[in-house]
Amino acid sequence: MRVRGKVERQDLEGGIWQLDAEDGNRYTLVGAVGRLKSGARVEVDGNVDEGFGIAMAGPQLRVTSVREL
Amino acid sequence: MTVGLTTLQARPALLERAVVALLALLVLLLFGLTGCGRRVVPVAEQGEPDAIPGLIDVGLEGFTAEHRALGAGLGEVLEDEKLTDDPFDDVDDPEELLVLRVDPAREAAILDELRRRSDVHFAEPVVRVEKFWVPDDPQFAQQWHLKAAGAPAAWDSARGAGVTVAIIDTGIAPVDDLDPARLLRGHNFLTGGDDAADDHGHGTHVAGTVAQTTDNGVGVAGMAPLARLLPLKVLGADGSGTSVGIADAIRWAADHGARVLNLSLGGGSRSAAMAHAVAYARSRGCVVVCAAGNGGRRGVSYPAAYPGAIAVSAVGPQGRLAPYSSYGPEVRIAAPGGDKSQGEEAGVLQETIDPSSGKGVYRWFQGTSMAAPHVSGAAALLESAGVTNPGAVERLLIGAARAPGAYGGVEVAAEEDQYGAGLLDVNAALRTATVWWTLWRVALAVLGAAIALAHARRLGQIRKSPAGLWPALLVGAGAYALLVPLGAARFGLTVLTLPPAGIAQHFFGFAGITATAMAYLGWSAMPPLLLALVARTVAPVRGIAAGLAFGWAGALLHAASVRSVYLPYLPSWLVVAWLLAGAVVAWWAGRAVIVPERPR
Repeated sequence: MRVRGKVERQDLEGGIWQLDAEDGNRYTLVGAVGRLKSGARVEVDGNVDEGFGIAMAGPQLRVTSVREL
Repeated sequence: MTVGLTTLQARPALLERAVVALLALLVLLLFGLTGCGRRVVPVAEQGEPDAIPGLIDVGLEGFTAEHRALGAGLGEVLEDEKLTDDPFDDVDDPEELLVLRVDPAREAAILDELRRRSDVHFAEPVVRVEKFWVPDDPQFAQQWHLKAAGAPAAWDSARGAGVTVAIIDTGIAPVDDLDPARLLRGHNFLTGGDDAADDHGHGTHVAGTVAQTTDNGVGVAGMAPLARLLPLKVLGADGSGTSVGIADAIRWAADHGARVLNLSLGGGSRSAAMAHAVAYARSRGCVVVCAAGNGGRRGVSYPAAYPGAIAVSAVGPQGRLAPYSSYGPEVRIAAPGGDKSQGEEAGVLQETIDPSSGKGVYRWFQGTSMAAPHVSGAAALLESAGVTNPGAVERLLIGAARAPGAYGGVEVAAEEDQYGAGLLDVNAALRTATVWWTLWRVALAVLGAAIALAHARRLGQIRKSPAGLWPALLVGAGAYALLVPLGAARFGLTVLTLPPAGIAQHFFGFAGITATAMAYLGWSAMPPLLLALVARTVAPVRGIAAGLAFGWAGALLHAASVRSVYLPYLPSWLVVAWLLAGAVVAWWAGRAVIVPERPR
């Protein structure tokens, strides 16, 4: 799937990336996140997986690619 | 035989009563000594003074009704004491001492206002004085979270020696402040090998909270300074993993000697495999501790929400729920997880790695992942003090939990969903297991002995109790454990927390046939029974054999009543039956051996 939204660095568990997506969800980003700027608008390609990890803060989006808008 | 003894023999009942009274006095005395671990006093005597927000004490000249009214106007009057005599002062100047709870935000202003009054001798914040071992780790002073959880006071009684805690996480990096001798060879569930090094930083931080090397003059401290760490890597460098890998790791840990499993991870989807793995680990005697989740709202994540797991919510330095913490009916207990909305240093401080360089760094993290390892470390301390049944560990932690808000000195009204039983206090839990349980063991043993002696006397089999019975009874029931809170752990003597029945299990552990056999043997009537058989022919040790048997019976009966013992392969209720049977046989052995053999 492809979603757009704003990425934010959250100071949780040492630091996690979250995406406030235009579909109304708040995803935790894992996988090929790469270098992001907190507050940037991005377009993310990836899949929502079963989502076990350190974040424990909502659905987890496994990123295959991310593009800054 | 001396004349004195003959006189005493004429009044056996009186002697018996005197001995019992003396023992009771001794027990009370020991308890008095151990009970003074923590108290609130108005002046700093020694140790680290630690002001309690919102609590002040005021010394006022003379006794007037206005004093109380003055106090009530400023806040809540907690204590009102009238002092007439100062032993250090010849002048008789009556003084009234008030302890007040005031609004912490206005505390400084109130103190200033009071100090300006002419009838106020002094006004100062109440400080908590803790007298216990303080480790020399330079940044220990910044670890408010260990102090809040009660760890420093607990370290006098237990340090987690011999207990293995599995860290099911991103792995553990061998940082400077982790003793390599306590970092076991684990498993990597992502690659299949035994290299479970951390490439993220999360697992190393969590492991530090559980068992950072303490009192080594370097860095920071951990909850259970002598516990062993078993790194199981189930999460990748991005901090995520699969339910299958996590479930496999839970089973692997249970099968490889781990007594406590820390799962600072979670997700929103149910997994039957993971639920079964948690149940399996619990049935193998493991304490399974899980982070409640960081959703900041109702809804505990999995595996925390599964039966058999201890779900931990997170609180900040005042003991109030952290804004990110998830909560719900599955939450069992709350522990410090940090609240960095109050500043960087309100986080949890441990050593971890900077994932980009791989170098060790000391960082303040926040999250329910940081709360869970405080509970895991606490469980390891209880395990090392001989509480081997996971249910008993959980009951002790829950029974000793403090009121929400209590870390900050001001209790807050709260829903049980947010804090479970309340805030973690490992020192209180450990005190129950060392002091109170010991008193119960001794009491049950004395009761059993008294019944046996009275019965034998009524039948005319004996006139007085055989020599050595009462001291041997104290040893058999493990009365020496009352000395533990005085600092046994400082000398590596936590084995003293255990009655003789539990010592074999302590030394042989839980893995393998020998360990199992020794555990069953110790927690049975076999040792006192064998001694009693010998004593039937060697008369001078009759009293000792009888005393040990009655002490043993008390220890077994108590262990059955609090279900504190885990024995491999037996379900909990059968362990209780085993212990009860052992108690009966041990008592019977004691009863049999107090009667001298008739000459033939």
